[in-house]
Amino acid sequence: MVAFAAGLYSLEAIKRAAYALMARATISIDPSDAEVRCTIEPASGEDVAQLVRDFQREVLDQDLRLDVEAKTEPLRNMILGLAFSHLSQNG
Amino acid sequence: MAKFLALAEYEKPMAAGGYRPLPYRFMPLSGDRYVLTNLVGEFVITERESLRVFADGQLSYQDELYSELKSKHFLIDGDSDVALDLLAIKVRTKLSPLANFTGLHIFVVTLRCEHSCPYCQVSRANDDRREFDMTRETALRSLDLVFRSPSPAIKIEFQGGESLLNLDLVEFIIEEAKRRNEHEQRDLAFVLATNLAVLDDRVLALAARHQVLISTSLDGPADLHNKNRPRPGGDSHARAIAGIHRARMALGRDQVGALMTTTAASLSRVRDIIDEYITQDFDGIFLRPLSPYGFAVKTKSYAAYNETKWLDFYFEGLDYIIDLNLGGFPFVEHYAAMILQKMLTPFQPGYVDLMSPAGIGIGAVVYNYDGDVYASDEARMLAEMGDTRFRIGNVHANTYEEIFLGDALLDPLEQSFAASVPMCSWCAFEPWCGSDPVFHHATQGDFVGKKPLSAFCGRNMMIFKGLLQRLNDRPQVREVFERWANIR
Repeated sequence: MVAFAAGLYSLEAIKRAAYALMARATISIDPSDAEVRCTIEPASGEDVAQLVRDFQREVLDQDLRLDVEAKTEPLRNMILGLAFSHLSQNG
Repeated sequence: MAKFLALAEYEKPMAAGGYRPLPYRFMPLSGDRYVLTNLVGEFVITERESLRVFADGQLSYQDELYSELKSKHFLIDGDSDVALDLLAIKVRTKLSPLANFTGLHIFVVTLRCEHSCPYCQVSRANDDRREFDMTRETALRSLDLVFRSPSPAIKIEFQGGESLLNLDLVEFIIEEAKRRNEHEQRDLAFVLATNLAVLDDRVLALAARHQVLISTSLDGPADLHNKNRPRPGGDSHARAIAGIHRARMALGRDQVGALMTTTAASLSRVRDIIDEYITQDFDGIFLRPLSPYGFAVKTKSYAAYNETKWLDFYFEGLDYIIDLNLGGFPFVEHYAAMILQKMLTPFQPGYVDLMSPAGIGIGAVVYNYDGDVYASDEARMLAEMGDTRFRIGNVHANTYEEIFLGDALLDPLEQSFAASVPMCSWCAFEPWCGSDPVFHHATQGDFVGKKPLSAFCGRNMMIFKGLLQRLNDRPQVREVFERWANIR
């Protein structure tokens, strides 16, 4: 079991990390006011300690990804708008 | 008075306003080493701590990484006001082939074949059953659809079965397509996929007359090839080699290409296979895994080896080829070359499996012998197994609009768009990858698939990482890869 303090990482980041590791483990997520508890059921042959480390690291990465996505979304939309603006000009 | 302003004057705009990160994604490579990619697949490799500093907005403009990130469109500052326009142009260039729509049109002129390969992915029929031949009427209706495609370049590829067993129809289609093209003025090309076993002078004369490219199968040295590709007389390899020589003599060396398929028997023989391609004077090889379709599934060939074994085979072959190049012998691994084109150039290869939106229908379309239209070669292989999910119409029953704007094609295209599916949407390799709805439908029962469980995803992720590692660690390898990336 792995627990994260509530608010430390977004729930979305924890969900994404669980998804990314689905080939190696089934991860149940149980959020409460104080913490988010994650129960890890490893697939056969998986080293549990390594799995926990990889999961924690994946959560950290996913949280950073969400942060980057949020910060860069307006520019992403602007660039895509610029890229395809000639299509609307050409009708 | 100094002739130039001091360096600090040029750095003022950067120092004053800080920077804004442009959209990017990242993935761990190994240990603390991460790769960052931008919207068009340009990449930077750095340590995790540097990534964190950059993401926190704390990277100093004096840091070496700052210049690299800036030059590759990962950030803008007060000194780079044209960067957004440049990046937008690159995005447009990457996606511009989509506007051309379907360029490759595959005609399955017969299912008959005199080979009986256990791994055959197209479920051949015995060579005396004419009901598996395409008719002229079906061919004409198919050509109507071919020329409705807006693509300025049209390639018609003849497949089987063994396409030469219905040579009359091949000749009829070529002549009719060329007649129509006098008015259409497309860049029209023909490819004949054949095992060359029944090659004769008539075929060569036809190919020479119409500049037809020959694409054949060569699985390796004689013992391996003949084991993989049985036929009466057990002489598939001898016939293929003789055919390659005859075709080159008649058509020119560059008019003949070959493809291999990896079986369980191939796994320990990658150097032998590559050596065979060198012996036969080919410039490169496409190291391909089996696909989960047709006889490959029925005869359990597909299940005979797993993804890990194939990757070991692939990387052993890739490293062997790299060493050949470093030793002065130019030779290409074509799958790596296509990925490297995505990594290192603004261009996109037209390979259906590495396209997103998926290449089905857009990159290629298949007109089956019976008039059914399939969204890809793999889609018709799946149909031969009884799953017609990717049958997008019939040339006798449906219009161009019904076939290419129908739900049967648009649903898988929309649902599998890699930029918006779980895991691909945050994957740093997405700009180099593709979405393969046919593969995921065949293996997981839906167009998207769960990527952590997907052999397509796992295989490509490992290849992307393997290429990056080799490219980053050895400057000489980078030179080889840049040459491969720029082959057209």
